[in-house]
Amino acid sequence: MNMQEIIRQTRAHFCLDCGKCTAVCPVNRFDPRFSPRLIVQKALSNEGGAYDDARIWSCVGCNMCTVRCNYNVSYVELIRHLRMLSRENGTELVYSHGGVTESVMHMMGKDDIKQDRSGWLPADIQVNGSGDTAFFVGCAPYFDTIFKDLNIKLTDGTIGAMRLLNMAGVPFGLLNNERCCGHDLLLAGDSNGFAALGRNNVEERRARGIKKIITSCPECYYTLKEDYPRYVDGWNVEVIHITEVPEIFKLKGAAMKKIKAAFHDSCKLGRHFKMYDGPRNLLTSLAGAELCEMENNKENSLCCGASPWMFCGSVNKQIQDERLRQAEATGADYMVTSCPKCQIHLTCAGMSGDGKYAGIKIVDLYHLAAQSLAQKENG
Amino acid sequence: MNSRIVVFSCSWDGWSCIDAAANAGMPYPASVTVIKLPCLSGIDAGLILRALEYGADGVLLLGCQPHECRHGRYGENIEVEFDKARQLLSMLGENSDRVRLARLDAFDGTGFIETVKSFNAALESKAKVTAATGNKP
Repeated sequence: MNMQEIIRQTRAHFCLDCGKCTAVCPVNRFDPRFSPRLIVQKALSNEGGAYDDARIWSCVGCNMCTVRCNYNVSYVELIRHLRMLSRENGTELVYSHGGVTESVMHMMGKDDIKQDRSGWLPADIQVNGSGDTAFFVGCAPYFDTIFKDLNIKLTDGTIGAMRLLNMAGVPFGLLNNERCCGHDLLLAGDSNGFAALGRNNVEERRARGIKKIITSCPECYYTLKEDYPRYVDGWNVEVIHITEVPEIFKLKGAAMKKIKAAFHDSCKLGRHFKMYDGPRNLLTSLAGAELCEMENNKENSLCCGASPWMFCGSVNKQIQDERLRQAEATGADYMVTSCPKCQIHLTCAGMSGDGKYAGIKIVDLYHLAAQSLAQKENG
Repeated sequence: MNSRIVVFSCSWDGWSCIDAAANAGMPYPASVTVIKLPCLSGIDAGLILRALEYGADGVLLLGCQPHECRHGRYGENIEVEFDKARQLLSMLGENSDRVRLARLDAFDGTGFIETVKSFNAALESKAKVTAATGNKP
Protein backbone atom coordinates (compact mmCIF):
# COMPACT_ATOMS: atom_id res chain seq x y z
CA MET A 1 0.00 0.00 0.00
CA ASN A 2 1.39 3.44 -0.81
CA MET A 3 1.39 6.49 1.44
CA GLN A 4 -1.66 8.08 -0.24
CA GLU A 5 -3.80 5.03 0.39
CA ILE A 6 -2.56 4.65 3.95
CA ILE A 7 -3.49 8.26 4.70
CA ARG A 8 -6.95 7.83 3.19
CA GLN A 9 -7.64 4.54 4.90
CA THR A 10 -6.54 5.70 8.34
CA ARG A 11 -8.29 9.10 7.99
CA ALA A 12 -4.96 10.78 8.75
CA HIS A 13 -5.84 13.66 6.39
CA PHE A 14 -8.51 14.73 8.89
CA CYS A 15 -5.82 15.53 11.48
CA LEU A 16 -6.32 19.05 12.85
CA ASP A 17 -2.94 19.17 14.54
CA CYS A 18 -4.64 19.73 17.89
CA GLY A 19 -2.24 17.47 19.78
CA LYS A 20 -4.77 15.73 22.02
CA CYS A 21 -3.27 12.42 20.92
CA THR A 22 0.15 13.41 22.19
CA ALA A 23 -1.30 14.82 25.41
CA VAL A 24 -2.85 11.48 26.39
CA CYS A 25 -0.16 9.18 24.97
CA PRO A 26 1.39 7.06 27.75
CA VAL A 27 4.67 6.75 25.83
CA ASN A 28 4.93 10.51 25.42
CA ARG A 29 4.50 10.92 29.16
CA PHE A 30 7.85 9.23 29.75
CA ASP A 31 9.57 9.92 26.44
CA PRO A 32 8.69 13.39 25.12
CA ARG A 33 10.51 12.69 21.87
CA PHE A 34 7.69 10.37 20.84
CA SER A 35 4.67 12.27 19.59
CA PRO A 36 1.73 10.77 17.69
CA ARG A 37 0.87 14.19 16.32
CA LEU A 38 4.32 14.71 14.83
CA ILE A 39 4.26 11.27 13.22
CA VAL A 40 0.89 11.99 11.58
CA GLN A 41 2.24 15.36 10.48
CA LYS A 42 5.33 13.73 8.99
CA ALA A 43 3.19 11.15 7.20
CA LEU A 44 1.13 13.96 5.67
CA SER A 45 4.08 16.13 4.64
CA ASN A 46 5.26 16.08 1.06
CA GLU A 47 8.71 14.95 2.09
CA GLY A 48 7.16 11.55 2.75
CA GLY A 49 8.92 8.77 4.57
CA ALA A 50 7.49 8.84 8.08
CA TYR A 51 8.31 5.16 8.01
CA ASP A 52 12.05 5.67 8.39
CA ASP A 53 11.49 7.52 11.67
CA ALA A 54 12.73 5.21 14.43
CA ARG A 55 10.01 6.57 16.74
CA ILE A 56 7.26 4.60 15.01
CA TRP A 57 8.55 1.53 16.86
CA SER A 58 7.87 3.10 20.27
CA CYS A 59 4.07 3.05 19.90
CA VAL A 60 2.45 0.47 22.20
CA GLY A 61 -0.81 0.36 20.23
CA CYS A 62 -3.01 1.25 23.22
CA ASN A 63 -5.48 3.31 21.14
CA MET A 64 -5.64 6.12 23.71
CA CYS A 65 -4.97 8.66 20.93
CA THR A 66 -7.77 7.46 18.65
CA VAL A 67 -10.28 7.50 21.50
CA ARG A 68 -9.44 11.15 22.13
CA CYS A 69 -9.20 12.18 18.47
CA ASN A 70 -12.10 14.39 17.34
CA TYR A 71 -11.83 13.02 13.81
CA ASN A 72 -11.22 9.42 14.70
CA VAL A 73 -7.84 9.15 12.99
CA SER A 74 -6.94 5.49 13.23
CA TYR A 75 -3.52 5.93 14.68
CA VAL A 76 -2.71 2.28 15.47
CA GLU A 77 -3.55 1.37 11.86
CA LEU A 78 -1.30 4.14 10.62
CA ILE A 79 1.59 2.91 12.75
CA ARG A 80 1.00 -0.63 11.55
CA HIS A 81 1.17 0.42 7.89
CA LEU A 82 4.23 2.59 8.48
CA ARG A 83 5.92 -0.38 10.13
CA MET A 84 5.09 -2.55 7.11
CA LEU A 85 6.66 0.04 4.82
CA SER A 86 9.64 0.32 7.13
CA ARG A 87 10.20 -3.44 7.03
CA GLU A 88 9.88 -3.49 3.26
CA ASN A 89 12.68 -0.94 3.23
CA GLY A 90 14.91 -3.22 5.25
CA THR A 91 14.77 -1.84 8.79
CA GLU A 92 16.63 -3.99 11.32
CA LEU A 93 14.62 -4.58 14.48
CA VAL A 94 15.45 -5.24 18.11
CA TYR A 95 13.36 -8.03 19.59
CA SER A 96 12.71 -8.53 23.28
CA HIS A 97 13.24 -11.95 24.84
CA GLY A 98 15.84 -12.78 22.17
CA GLY A 99 13.16 -12.84 19.49
CA VAL A 100 11.80 -16.15 20.72
CA THR A 101 8.15 -15.16 20.35
CA GLU A 102 8.71 -14.00 16.79
CA SER A 103 10.54 -17.21 15.85
CA VAL A 104 7.77 -19.33 17.37
CA MET A 105 5.14 -17.38 15.43
CA HIS A 106 7.10 -17.80 12.20
CA MET A 107 7.60 -21.52 12.75
CA MET A 108 3.89 -21.88 13.50
CA GLY A 109 3.18 -20.32 10.13
CA LYS A 110 4.66 -23.30 8.28
CA ASP A 111 2.01 -25.32 6.46
CA ASP A 112 3.25 -28.79 7.35
CA ILE A 113 3.67 -28.62 11.13
CA LYS A 114 1.73 -30.89 13.47
CA GLN A 115 1.74 -29.22 16.86
CA ASP A 116 1.65 -31.05 20.13
CA ARG A 117 0.07 -28.25 22.07
CA SER A 118 -2.48 -29.76 24.41
CA GLY A 119 -0.23 -31.30 27.07
CA TRP A 120 -1.41 -28.74 29.63
CA LEU A 121 -5.10 -29.62 29.29
CA PRO A 122 -6.49 -31.20 32.49
CA ALA A 123 -8.55 -34.38 32.10
CA ASP A 124 -11.67 -32.89 33.70
CA ILE A 125 -12.24 -30.32 30.95
CA GLN A 126 -14.99 -31.57 28.65
CA VAL A 127 -14.12 -30.95 25.03
CA ASN A 128 -16.70 -31.71 22.39
CA GLY A 129 -14.92 -32.65 19.19
CA SER A 130 -17.91 -32.79 16.85
CA GLY A 131 -19.67 -29.42 17.22
CA ASP A 132 -19.21 -26.33 15.10
CA THR A 133 -18.03 -24.16 18.01
CA ALA A 134 -14.37 -23.99 18.95
CA PHE A 135 -12.52 -22.41 21.83
CA PHE A 136 -9.51 -20.48 20.56
CA VAL A 137 -6.76 -21.07 23.11
CA GLY A 138 -4.15 -18.59 21.90
CA CYS A 139 -0.46 -18.77 22.68
CA ALA A 140 -0.76 -19.34 26.46
CA PRO A 141 0.79 -22.86 26.28
CA TYR A 142 3.84 -21.42 24.50
CA PHE A 143 4.03 -18.47 26.88
CA ASP A 144 4.13 -20.91 29.79
CA THR A 145 7.41 -22.27 28.46
CA ILE A 146 8.87 -18.98 27.27
CA PHE A 147 8.12 -17.11 30.49
CA LYS A 148 8.61 -19.83 33.04
CA ASP A 149 11.32 -17.72 34.73
CA LEU A 150 8.55 -15.29 35.73
CA ASN A 151 6.85 -18.00 37.74
CA ILE A 152 3.46 -17.55 36.10
CA LYS A 153 1.22 -20.11 34.48
CA LEU A 154 -0.77 -18.50 31.73
CA THR A 155 -2.70 -21.64 30.85
CA ASP A 156 -4.37 -21.27 34.27
CA GLY A 157 -6.41 -18.45 32.77
CA THR A 158 -7.31 -20.47 29.67
CA ILE A 159 -8.24 -23.50 31.78
CA GLY A 160 -10.35 -21.20 33.99
CA ALA A 161 -12.20 -19.87 30.95
CA MET A 162 -12.84 -23.41 29.69
CA ARG A 163 -14.08 -24.48 33.14
CA LEU A 164 -16.54 -21.56 33.17
CA LEU A 165 -17.87 -22.68 29.78
CA ASN A 166 -18.12 -26.27 31.02
CA MET A 167 -20.01 -25.21 34.15
CA ALA A 168 -22.34 -23.02 32.13
CA GLY A 169 -23.03 -25.96 29.80
CA VAL A 170 -21.69 -24.30 26.65
CA PRO A 171 -20.20 -26.99 24.40
CA PHE A 172 -16.96 -26.27 22.55
CA GLY A 173 -14.19 -28.11 20.73
CA LEU A 174 -10.52 -27.31 20.30
CA LEU A 175 -8.49 -26.82 17.14
CA ASN A 176 -5.68 -29.33 17.51
CA ASN A 177 -3.37 -27.52 15.18
CA GLU A 178 -4.46 -23.99 16.01
CA ARG A 179 -1.94 -21.33 15.01
CA CYS A 180 -1.20 -18.06 16.74
CA CYS A 181 -3.73 -15.40 15.67
CA GLY A 182 -0.83 -13.24 14.48
CA HIS A 183 -1.76 -10.06 16.36
CA ASP A 184 1.83 -9.23 17.22
CA LEU A 185 3.22 -9.94 13.78
CA LEU A 186 0.62 -7.65 12.25
CA LEU A 187 1.27 -4.90 14.78
CA ALA A 188 4.98 -5.29 14.09
CA GLY A 189 4.31 -4.82 10.38
CA ASP A 190 5.16 -8.39 9.39
CA SER A 191 2.40 -8.88 6.84
CA ASN A 192 3.88 -12.08 5.34
CA GLY A 193 4.16 -13.80 8.71
CA PHE A 194 0.60 -12.77 9.55
CA ALA A 195 -0.73 -14.04 6.21
CA ALA A 196 0.89 -17.45 6.76
CA LEU A 197 -0.74 -17.82 10.19
CA GLY A 198 -4.09 -16.60 8.89
CA ARG A 199 -4.04 -18.99 5.93
CA ASN A 200 -3.33 -21.95 8.20
CA ASN A 201 -6.05 -20.98 10.68
CA VAL A 202 -8.54 -20.78 7.82
CA GLU A 203 -7.49 -24.28 6.69
CA GLU A 204 -7.89 -25.57 10.22
CA ARG A 205 -11.33 -24.00 10.51
CA ARG A 206 -12.45 -25.44 7.17
CA ALA A 207 -11.19 -28.93 7.98
CA ARG A 208 -13.16 -28.96 11.21
CA GLY A 209 -16.23 -27.13 9.90
CA ILE A 210 -16.04 -24.47 12.61
CA LYS A 211 -18.64 -21.69 12.37
CA LYS A 212 -18.24 -20.01 15.73
CA ILE A 213 -15.19 -19.25 17.86
CA ILE A 214 -15.14 -18.35 21.54
CA THR A 215 -11.96 -16.88 22.95
CA SER A 216 -10.83 -15.43 26.24
CA CYS A 217 -7.74 -13.59 25.01
CA PRO A 218 -8.50 -9.95 24.15
CA GLU A 219 -5.87 -9.78 21.42
CA CYS A 220 -7.01 -13.00 19.75
CA TYR A 221 -10.55 -11.65 19.94
CA TYR A 222 -9.59 -8.39 18.28
CA THR A 223 -7.51 -10.03 15.57
CA LEU A 224 -9.96 -12.80 14.71
CA LYS A 225 -12.94 -10.45 14.76
CA GLU A 226 -11.52 -7.28 13.20
CA ASP A 227 -8.40 -8.16 11.25
CA TYR A 228 -9.16 -11.61 9.83
CA PRO A 229 -12.27 -10.49 7.87
CA ARG A 230 -10.20 -7.65 6.40
CA TYR A 231 -6.90 -9.35 5.65
CA VAL A 232 -7.51 -13.12 5.50
CA ASP A 233 -9.52 -14.81 2.73
CA GLY A 234 -12.19 -17.33 3.61
CA TRP A 235 -12.48 -16.67 7.34
CA ASN A 236 -16.29 -16.28 7.76
CA VAL A 237 -16.50 -17.18 11.42
CA GLU A 238 -18.59 -15.65 14.14
CA VAL A 239 -16.13 -14.65 16.87
CA ILE A 240 -17.34 -13.98 20.39
CA HIS A 241 -15.55 -13.14 23.59
CA ILE A 242 -16.22 -15.29 26.63
CA THR A 243 -17.80 -12.32 28.45
CA GLU A 244 -20.38 -12.19 25.66
CA VAL A 245 -21.63 -15.69 26.48
CA PRO A 246 -24.82 -15.01 28.50
CA GLU A 247 -24.90 -18.47 30.14
CA ILE A 248 -21.74 -17.65 32.08
CA PHE A 249 -23.44 -14.91 34.04
CA LYS A 250 -26.16 -17.27 35.24
CA LEU A 251 -23.54 -19.06 37.33
CA LYS A 252 -23.40 -18.00 40.94
CA GLY A 253 -20.06 -17.46 42.58
CA ALA A 254 -18.81 -18.22 46.03
CA ALA A 255 -18.69 -15.63 48.77
CA MET A 256 -16.21 -17.59 50.84
CA LYS A 257 -13.72 -14.91 51.64
CA LYS A 258 -14.28 -11.48 50.23
CA ILE A 259 -11.22 -10.35 48.33
CA LYS A 260 -10.43 -6.91 47.01
CA ALA A 261 -9.44 -6.79 43.39
CA ALA A 262 -8.24 -3.98 41.14
CA PHE A 263 -9.26 -4.63 37.55
CA HIS A 264 -6.80 -3.81 34.80
CA ASP A 265 -8.52 -3.30 31.44
CA SER A 266 -6.66 -4.62 28.46
CA CYS A 267 -6.43 -2.08 25.64
CA LYS A 268 -8.09 -4.34 23.10
CA LEU A 269 -11.13 -5.31 25.16
CA GLY A 270 -11.37 -1.90 26.76
CA ARG A 271 -10.69 0.99 24.45
CA HIS A 272 -11.04 -0.96 21.20
CA PHE A 273 -14.30 -2.76 21.97
CA LYS A 274 -15.59 -0.69 24.93
CA MET A 275 -16.22 -3.91 26.84
CA TYR A 276 -15.75 -2.58 30.36
CA ASP A 277 -18.68 -4.07 32.23
CA GLY A 278 -18.56 -7.73 31.16
CA PRO A 279 -15.23 -8.54 32.82
CA ARG A 280 -16.14 -6.44 35.86
CA ASN A 281 -19.43 -8.32 36.29
CA LEU A 282 -17.55 -11.57 36.05
CA LEU A 283 -15.18 -10.37 38.75
CA THR A 284 -17.84 -9.20 41.18
CA SER A 285 -20.62 -11.73 40.61
CA LEU A 286 -18.59 -14.87 39.90
CA ALA A 287 -15.31 -14.36 41.67
CA GLY A 288 -17.14 -12.61 44.49
CA ALA A 289 -14.59 -9.84 44.64
CA GLU A 290 -14.94 -6.29 45.80
CA LEU A 291 -13.97 -4.11 42.88
CA CYS A 292 -11.38 -1.39 43.43
CA GLU A 293 -10.92 1.01 40.55
CA MET A 294 -7.45 2.32 39.81
CA GLU A 295 -6.75 5.98 39.18
CA ASN A 296 -6.78 5.35 35.43
CA ASN A 297 -9.60 3.00 34.59
CA LYS A 298 -11.94 2.01 31.79
CA GLU A 299 -11.47 4.44 28.89
CA ASN A 300 -8.46 6.06 30.57
CA SER A 301 -6.89 2.77 31.57
CA LEU A 302 -3.12 2.71 31.34
CA CYS A 303 -1.60 0.18 28.92
CA CYS A 304 0.56 -2.65 30.27
CA GLY A 305 3.25 -0.83 28.37
CA ALA A 306 4.62 -3.15 25.75
CA SER A 307 4.92 -3.23 22.01
CA PRO A 308 4.62 -6.47 20.06
CA TRP A 309 7.61 -8.18 21.69
CA MET A 310 10.06 -5.59 20.52
CA PHE A 311 11.95 -2.50 21.67
CA CYS A 312 10.99 -3.00 25.31
CA GLY A 313 13.01 -0.42 27.21
CA SER A 314 13.04 2.04 30.07
CA VAL A 315 9.96 3.90 28.85
CA ASN A 316 7.91 0.70 28.78
CA LYS A 317 9.13 -0.16 32.25
CA GLN A 318 8.14 3.27 33.55
CA ILE A 319 4.61 2.86 32.18
CA GLN A 320 4.39 -0.57 33.82
CA ASP A 321 5.76 0.73 37.13
CA GLU A 322 3.20 3.49 37.11
CA ARG A 323 0.43 0.94 36.52
CA LEU A 324 1.66 -1.28 39.35
CA ARG A 325 1.83 1.71 41.68
CA GLN A 326 -1.77 2.62 40.80
CA ALA A 327 -2.86 -0.93 41.59
CA GLU A 328 -1.03 -0.98 44.90
CA ALA A 329 -2.51 2.41 45.84
CA THR A 330 -6.04 0.95 45.73
CA GLY A 331 -5.18 -1.35 48.64
CA ALA A 332 -6.45 -4.35 46.69
CA ASP A 333 -5.23 -7.91 47.32
CA TYR A 334 -5.04 -8.75 43.65
CA MET A 335 -4.56 -7.00 40.37
CA VAL A 336 -6.85 -8.85 38.01
CA THR A 337 -6.53 -8.84 34.24
CA SER A 338 -8.18 -10.73 31.43
CA CYS A 339 -5.18 -10.57 29.09
CA PRO A 340 -2.26 -13.03 29.26
CA LYS A 341 0.13 -10.48 27.80
CA CYS A 342 -0.78 -7.86 30.40
CA GLN A 343 -0.08 -10.50 33.03
CA ILE A 344 3.34 -11.24 31.55
CA HIS A 345 4.36 -7.61 31.16
CA LEU A 346 3.21 -6.44 34.57
CA THR A 347 4.74 -9.44 36.35
CA CYS A 348 7.99 -8.86 34.48
CA ALA A 349 8.00 -5.17 35.44
CA GLY A 350 7.24 -6.07 39.03
CA MET A 351 10.32 -8.20 39.33
CA SER A 352 12.75 -6.26 37.21
CA GLY A 353 13.31 -3.32 39.54
CA ASP A 354 15.12 -5.09 42.35
CA GLY A 355 14.61 -8.68 41.24
CA LYS A 356 11.63 -9.07 43.57
CA TYR A 357 8.01 -9.46 42.62
CA ALA A 358 5.57 -6.61 42.88
CA GLY A 359 3.81 -6.07 46.17
CA ILE A 360 0.51 -6.87 44.54
CA LYS A 361 -0.25 -10.28 43.06
CA ILE A 362 -1.34 -10.28 39.43
CA VAL A 363 -3.90 -12.95 38.57
CA ASP A 364 -6.04 -13.92 35.63
CA LEU A 365 -9.73 -13.08 35.76
CA TYR A 366 -11.02 -16.43 34.50
CA HIS A 367 -8.71 -18.38 36.76
CA LEU A 368 -10.01 -16.44 39.77
CA ALA A 369 -13.66 -16.85 38.75
CA ALA A 370 -13.36 -20.59 38.06
CA GLN A 371 -11.49 -21.13 41.31
CA SER A 372 -14.15 -19.31 43.28
CA LEU A 373 -16.94 -21.36 41.64
CA ALA A 374 -15.09 -24.61 42.31
CA GLN A 375 -14.72 -23.65 45.98
CA LYS A 376 -18.46 -23.20 46.20
CA GLU A 377 -19.15 -26.57 44.60
CA ASN A 378 -16.79 -28.27 46.99
CA GLY A 379 -18.65 -26.75 49.88
CA MET B 1 24.70 -34.90 2.32
CA ASN B 2 25.74 -33.30 5.58
CA SER B 3 23.32 -31.52 7.87
CA ARG B 4 23.60 -27.78 8.33
CA ILE B 5 24.71 -27.31 11.91
CA VAL B 6 25.13 -23.99 13.69
CA VAL B 7 27.50 -24.15 16.66
CA PHE B 8 27.15 -21.43 19.30
CA SER B 9 30.47 -21.64 21.09
CA CYS B 10 31.76 -19.77 24.12
CA SER B 11 35.03 -17.96 23.52
CA TRP B 12 36.91 -19.92 26.24
CA ASP B 13 36.95 -23.72 26.54
CA GLY B 14 34.41 -24.29 23.77
CA TRP B 15 36.43 -22.23 21.31
CA SER B 16 39.69 -23.80 22.47
CA CYS B 17 38.35 -27.24 21.45
CA ILE B 18 37.53 -26.02 17.94
CA ASP B 19 40.94 -24.35 17.77
CA ALA B 20 42.69 -27.53 18.92
CA ALA B 21 40.84 -29.56 16.30
CA ALA B 22 41.87 -27.09 13.60
CA ASN B 23 45.51 -27.02 14.73
CA ALA B 24 45.66 -30.82 14.76
CA GLY B 25 44.26 -30.87 11.23
CA MET B 26 41.20 -32.91 12.23
CA PRO B 27 38.45 -32.45 9.62
CA TYR B 28 34.75 -31.83 10.31
CA PRO B 29 31.88 -31.32 7.84
CA ALA B 30 31.98 -28.04 5.93
CA SER B 31 28.27 -27.58 6.66
CA VAL B 32 29.13 -26.68 10.27
CA THR B 33 29.05 -22.94 10.99
CA VAL B 34 30.58 -21.71 14.21
CA ILE B 35 29.36 -18.54 15.93
CA LYS B 36 31.54 -17.36 18.78
CA LEU B 37 29.89 -15.83 21.85
CA PRO B 38 31.81 -14.25 24.74
CA CYS B 39 30.08 -16.67 27.11
CA LEU B 40 27.48 -19.31 26.37
CA SER B 41 25.36 -17.86 29.18
CA GLY B 42 24.39 -15.20 26.67
CA ILE B 43 22.44 -17.77 24.68
CA ASP B 44 18.71 -17.42 24.40
CA ALA B 45 15.98 -19.80 23.24
CA GLY B 46 15.14 -17.11 20.68
CA LEU B 47 18.61 -17.26 19.16
CA ILE B 48 18.46 -21.06 18.92
CA LEU B 49 15.04 -21.03 17.28
CA ARG B 50 16.07 -18.23 14.95
CA ALA B 51 18.92 -20.37 13.60
CA LEU B 52 16.47 -23.23 12.99
CA GLU B 53 13.89 -20.88 11.49
CA TYR B 54 16.50 -19.59 9.04
CA GLY B 55 17.23 -23.10 7.81
CA ALA B 56 19.73 -24.80 10.13
CA ASP B 57 19.05 -28.51 10.65
CA GLY B 58 20.60 -28.54 14.10
CA VAL B 59 22.03 -26.19 16.73
CA LEU B 60 24.92 -27.24 18.95
CA LEU B 61 25.65 -25.27 22.11
CA LEU B 62 29.30 -25.66 23.02
CA GLY B 63 30.51 -24.40 26.37
CA CYS B 64 32.86 -24.88 29.31
CA GLN B 65 32.25 -27.34 32.11
CA PRO B 66 29.94 -25.62 34.65
CA HIS B 67 32.68 -25.00 37.24
CA GLU B 68 35.11 -23.69 34.61
CA CYS B 69 33.10 -20.64 33.49
CA ARG B 70 35.48 -17.61 33.33
CA HIS B 71 32.55 -15.27 33.87
CA GLY B 72 31.42 -16.96 37.08
CA ARG B 73 27.99 -17.67 35.61
CA TYR B 74 28.09 -21.44 36.17
CA GLY B 75 25.79 -21.77 33.20
CA GLU B 76 22.39 -22.25 34.87
CA ASN B 77 20.99 -19.95 32.24
CA ILE B 78 22.29 -22.23 29.49
CA GLU B 79 20.32 -25.20 30.79
CA VAL B 80 17.18 -23.06 31.20
CA GLU B 81 17.31 -21.70 27.66
CA PHE B 82 18.30 -25.09 26.23
CA ASP B 83 15.27 -26.72 27.90
CA LYS B 84 13.01 -23.92 26.73
CA ALA B 85 14.14 -24.33 23.13
CA ARG B 86 13.61 -28.09 23.27
CA GLN B 87 10.15 -27.75 24.81
CA LEU B 88 9.09 -25.17 22.26
CA LEU B 89 10.32 -27.39 19.43
CA SER B 90 8.36 -30.38 20.65
CA MET B 91 5.23 -28.24 21.05
CA LEU B 92 5.72 -27.08 17.47
CA GLY B 93 5.81 -30.73 16.43
CA GLU B 94 9.50 -30.57 15.53
CA ASN B 95 12.24 -32.94 16.64
CA SER B 96 13.57 -31.54 19.91
CA ASP B 97 16.90 -33.35 19.39
CA ARG B 98 17.73 -30.73 16.79
CA VAL B 99 19.27 -28.81 19.70
CA ARG B 100 22.15 -30.32 21.56
CA LEU B 101 24.29 -29.11 24.47
CA ALA B 102 27.92 -30.15 24.88
CA ARG B 103 30.24 -29.13 27.69
CA LEU B 104 33.87 -29.99 26.98
CA ASP B 105 37.18 -29.63 28.77
CA ALA B 106 39.65 -27.11 27.37
CA PHE B 107 41.58 -28.06 24.21
CA ASP B 108 39.55 -31.25 23.67
CA GLY B 109 39.77 -31.21 19.88
CA THR B 110 38.85 -34.87 19.55
CA GLY B 111 35.81 -34.35 21.78
CA PHE B 112 34.58 -31.55 19.53
CA ILE B 113 35.02 -33.61 16.37
CA GLU B 114 33.22 -36.58 17.92
CA THR B 115 30.36 -34.38 19.17
CA VAL B 116 29.88 -32.76 15.78
CA LYS B 117 30.08 -36.04 13.88
CA SER B 118 27.65 -37.88 16.14
CA PHE B 119 25.23 -34.93 16.00
CA ASN B 120 25.51 -34.87 12.22
CA ALA B 121 24.88 -38.62 12.03
CA ALA B 122 21.82 -38.34 14.31
CA LEU B 123 20.36 -35.50 12.24
CA GLU B 124 21.01 -37.35 8.99
CA SER B 125 19.35 -40.55 10.15
CA LYS B 126 16.28 -38.53 11.20
CA ALA B 127 16.30 -36.82 7.80
CA LYS B 128 16.35 -40.24 6.10
CA VAL B 129 13.33 -41.35 8.14
CA THR B 130 11.52 -38.17 7.13
CA ALA B 131 12.39 -38.67 3.46
CA ALA B 132 11.28 -42.31 3.50
CA THR B 133 7.99 -41.89 5.37
CA GLY B 134 7.06 -38.33 4.49
CA ASN B 135 6.43 -37.78 8.19
CA LYS B 136 8.51 -35.73 10.53
CA PRO B 137 10.13 -37.85 13.20
